[in-house]
Amino acid sequence: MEINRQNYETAFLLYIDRELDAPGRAAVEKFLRDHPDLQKEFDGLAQTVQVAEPMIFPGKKDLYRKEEPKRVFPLFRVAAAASVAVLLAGGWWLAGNIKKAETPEKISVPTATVTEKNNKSGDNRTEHPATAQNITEERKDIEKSGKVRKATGGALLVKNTKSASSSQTSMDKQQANETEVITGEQAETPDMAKKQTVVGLQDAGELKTPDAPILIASKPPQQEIIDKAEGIPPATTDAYYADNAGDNAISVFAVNDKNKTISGIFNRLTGRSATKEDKSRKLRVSVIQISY
Amino acid sequence: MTGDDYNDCVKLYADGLYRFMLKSTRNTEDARDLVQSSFEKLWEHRKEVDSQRCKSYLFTIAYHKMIDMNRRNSRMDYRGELPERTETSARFTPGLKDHLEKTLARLTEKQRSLIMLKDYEGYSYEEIVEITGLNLSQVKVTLHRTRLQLKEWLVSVENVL
Repeated sequence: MEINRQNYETAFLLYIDRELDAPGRAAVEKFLRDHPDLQKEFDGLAQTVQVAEPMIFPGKKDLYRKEEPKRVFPLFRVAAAASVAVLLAGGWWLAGNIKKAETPEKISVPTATVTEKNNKSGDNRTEHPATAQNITEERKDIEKSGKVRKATGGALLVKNTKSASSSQTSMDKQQANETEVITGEQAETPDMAKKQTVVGLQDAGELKTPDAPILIASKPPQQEIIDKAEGIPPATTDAYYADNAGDNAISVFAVNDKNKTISGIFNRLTGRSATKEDKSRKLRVSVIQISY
Repeated sequence: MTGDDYNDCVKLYADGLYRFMLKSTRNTEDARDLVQSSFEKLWEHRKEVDSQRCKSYLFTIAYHKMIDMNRRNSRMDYRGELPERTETSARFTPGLKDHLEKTLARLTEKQRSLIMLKDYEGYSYEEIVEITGLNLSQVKVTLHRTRLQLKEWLVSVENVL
């Protein structure tokens, strides 16, 4: 911008406001040297520049802030929370299973017709027949455990999926993971139950006695016993065999000497009468410690 | 900006902002409140504010808060022109510096703010545009008119002295 007497005022103001670059400032200074009569006017404008006086804000210390540290959730708390969650979930699951077990399903189909299908698995189970003595000893031990004391009046058939030889030698402190009781249709009194006859694992005739043993846990029962039992639907026997597929599974299967399912087991195991919904439902007792 | 950057801003600019607010509002309590609320806002938005732009952010916030406050208090002078010089205003001026203070007080708040942003804080026209929201022409014209008016007052006072 060329400075002349028409636009010098703007040039002076830009100079005072420090808005000119070096050539622009030099041009203004040269113009002032060339026109000394305008120096006073320039000085008058320069006087309008305010000089900043030092000032202290009285509340300055209150303005300082400290950043809050980020919250770090300790790992052990996470682990504790996870443990609690797992325990709660496990408790809920167990409670659900117990509740489910207390409401046995009704069994109404008369005769099982799965003999042929289950003979294949039954072959394996009959390789190691159990003697009545062994069975009786096992029954007594189970009675001592007291965990199925309610079943004293019932006639039960107990199955262990382990072979008889291995179970007899290594059943010390064996933990049975699962015991299954299938109840019949009608609830019966303990006196009536005493009249029931135990059907043994291998030979139903061997164990026929009015004083029915409580639990016999030795080896899987013969397939035919289960298959011939009346009142057990095929689906139940399928589930029965499936449930006992594990090594440590023990199931309690109730039939009488006439190969009919025994009712009233729920009552004897739980100590209360079966409701209408409870009848004929499965009662599953898990984790029973059996010592020999 | 981090919390440390914020504290650096307090250290560097709190006094200047207070001076700007005090000269603009001419009220100690108002200036103090405006400074505190401006830093409060800076703290809230510190993560979005670049530490290099902390000063202009503060002055922008403070300026607009002051405008809002003045509008609420109906104290804003929107004439856009220099007030008329009165006889009493220059009659008992003990010195040029004191008179300059008084003449500054006679400016409108917009004029005063622009002069202080320019002279006290050394902002460029473009920066003042950013802070005040005015356009470049408004800033330039207002500043030039204000200086001419101040010069006229000062010259008259010199003649009196």
